[in-house]
Amino acid sequence: MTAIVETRALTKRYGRRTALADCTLTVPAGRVVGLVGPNGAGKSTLLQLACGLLTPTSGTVEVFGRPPAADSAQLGRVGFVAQDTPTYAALTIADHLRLGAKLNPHWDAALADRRIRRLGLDPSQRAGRLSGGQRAQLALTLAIAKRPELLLLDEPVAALDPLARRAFLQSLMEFVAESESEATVVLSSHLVSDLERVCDHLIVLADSRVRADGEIDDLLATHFRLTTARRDPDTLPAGMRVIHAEHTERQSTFVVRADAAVDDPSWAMEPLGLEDLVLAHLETAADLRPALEPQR
Amino acid sequence: MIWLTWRQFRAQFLAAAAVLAAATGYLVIVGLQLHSGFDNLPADCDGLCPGAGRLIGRYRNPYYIGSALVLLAPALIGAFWGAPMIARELETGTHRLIWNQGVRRGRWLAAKLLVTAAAAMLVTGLLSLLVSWFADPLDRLNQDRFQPLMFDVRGLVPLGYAAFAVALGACAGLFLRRTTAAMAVTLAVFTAVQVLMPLAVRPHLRPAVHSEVALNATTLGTARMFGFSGDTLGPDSPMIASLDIPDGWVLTGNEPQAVRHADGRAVTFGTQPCRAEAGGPATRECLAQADLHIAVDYQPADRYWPFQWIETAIYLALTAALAALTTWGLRRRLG
Repeated sequence: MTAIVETRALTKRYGRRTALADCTLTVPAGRVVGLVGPNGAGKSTLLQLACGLLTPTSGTVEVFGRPPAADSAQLGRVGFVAQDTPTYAALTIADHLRLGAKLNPHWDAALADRRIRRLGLDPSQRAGRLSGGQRAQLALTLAIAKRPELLLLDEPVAALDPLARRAFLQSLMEFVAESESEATVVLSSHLVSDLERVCDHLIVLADSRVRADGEIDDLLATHFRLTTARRDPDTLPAGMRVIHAEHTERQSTFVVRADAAVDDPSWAMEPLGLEDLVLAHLETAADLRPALEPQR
Repeated sequence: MIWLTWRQFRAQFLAAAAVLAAATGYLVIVGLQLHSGFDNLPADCDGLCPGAGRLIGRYRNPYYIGSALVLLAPALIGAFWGAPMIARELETGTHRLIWNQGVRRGRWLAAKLLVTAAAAMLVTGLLSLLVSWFADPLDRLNQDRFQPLMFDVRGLVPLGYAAFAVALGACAGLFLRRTTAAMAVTLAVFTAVQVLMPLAVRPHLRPAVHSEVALNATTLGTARMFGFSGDTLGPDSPMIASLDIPDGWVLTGNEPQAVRHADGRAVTFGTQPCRAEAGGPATRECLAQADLHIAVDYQPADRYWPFQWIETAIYLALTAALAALTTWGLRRRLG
């Protein structure tokens, strides 16, 4: 599995505020990767570091084995849809497409036109008058008509209503299905349900740290909720890693990671939904946070 | 990239072009009248004949309007073209769109700066050319084109100011990240530089000429001030005067200097030549014969164009320095 994006001890600070600390992760090729984490986890910072909008304070980030935005060829291989999907309010849709055509070496004009037509948008309309969903679609069109090998999307659907959200994710999946050479997509969100629909790989990020990383199917197959009479997590069999534990007076509930479910009359072990899985990791991250550090 | 720059910049440029066209129409019509009026002056009119005074008075308003346009154009261009260049992108977040196209940030900035600065220089240059043509008769009569405010609104220097203002605005926009703040800072810094230049830099571009000017009929006739100093007039009150050098720039201009005899003695009320009968003022005709002198530091008229070139070059150098700083900042500071 070749790594498309690789970060090592990646750190970004703004003055005294740390946006991303000591983050090491890899994004495998040809996957649709969901990057999930609470607000302030550093998702946006990580994506902007990966596309070269930001430069690291320390550590390294490499895309296709090279520093991001190293030259125009590198810029042409990476598509980026920024948070809130910015577009030029005064320019028309046609202007935006022309901009993309002029500035990108591998611009696919036919694809861009087809998408705008299919969306039912009037090319002579100014971007400032589009709805949030239409603007997001325009930004996505700009990013995918570049024919990128890596497409980064920073919370593209966060501000959209459910219908626009579904339409946007639909468009994204069409791009993934249609792209001839296996494109890699990284999509960040704080909503697991969005990611579950389109992603096949998940990276859970909390406090800049990778809490879980893997194919979604694998993650689902190895995470379980274990309900039992109250007991110490240390008494669980080896091979079960406790992610999260909750105790009431008589009962303990664990989220554990194990290769397979283990039948035992003293407990109930059941598979976990993706949302609960992510939450378990995030709650653990919150518990581990030093008590002195102010909660964000 | 040039297409995009032009596309984003089109509306502002057309607005400026409209103002320029209106100013051209007005100043050409009034200017033709002014020029024919000037041609009808007597050939020996040296700026003092009655017709000259009437001409200057009649065209005072368009003269001031034209000069004010050239004075304000670079500042407004810096604030309205330069400051939003980067700040607006940062404010609306579109920098995250445009800097991820297949064009490096440095090239993006270079195209933006070059196109905008070229447009600024074109507009300001045409305006300066127009106003210089319009005001030429009045400048010849007033002989004051080397004076600080006049120097700024004629000839070549407005081009340098315009390019500088654009780069200043872009740089302020990058570091302040807010359009309105960048506009305000651009105006403030630009004004400060424009005030500082004639006060602290321009007088020293070349060492001033020091000369003892004889008071004769001509110099006395154009003297800006002539009289005696002191709160009360007594026998010891020194005689003072301040002179203008035609088309030159008297650096001691606002401070009257002591009038001296040929041997260097200061003239006082008590020792003045041509004492009129019954205490009346001495006649200028008599004083003009008395071989009196005044010390003057000045930049002579033939340095006008060298000064225009040097100052333009200084501003273009500042422009280049600001562009380099902005390029550096774009790479570093936004990282």
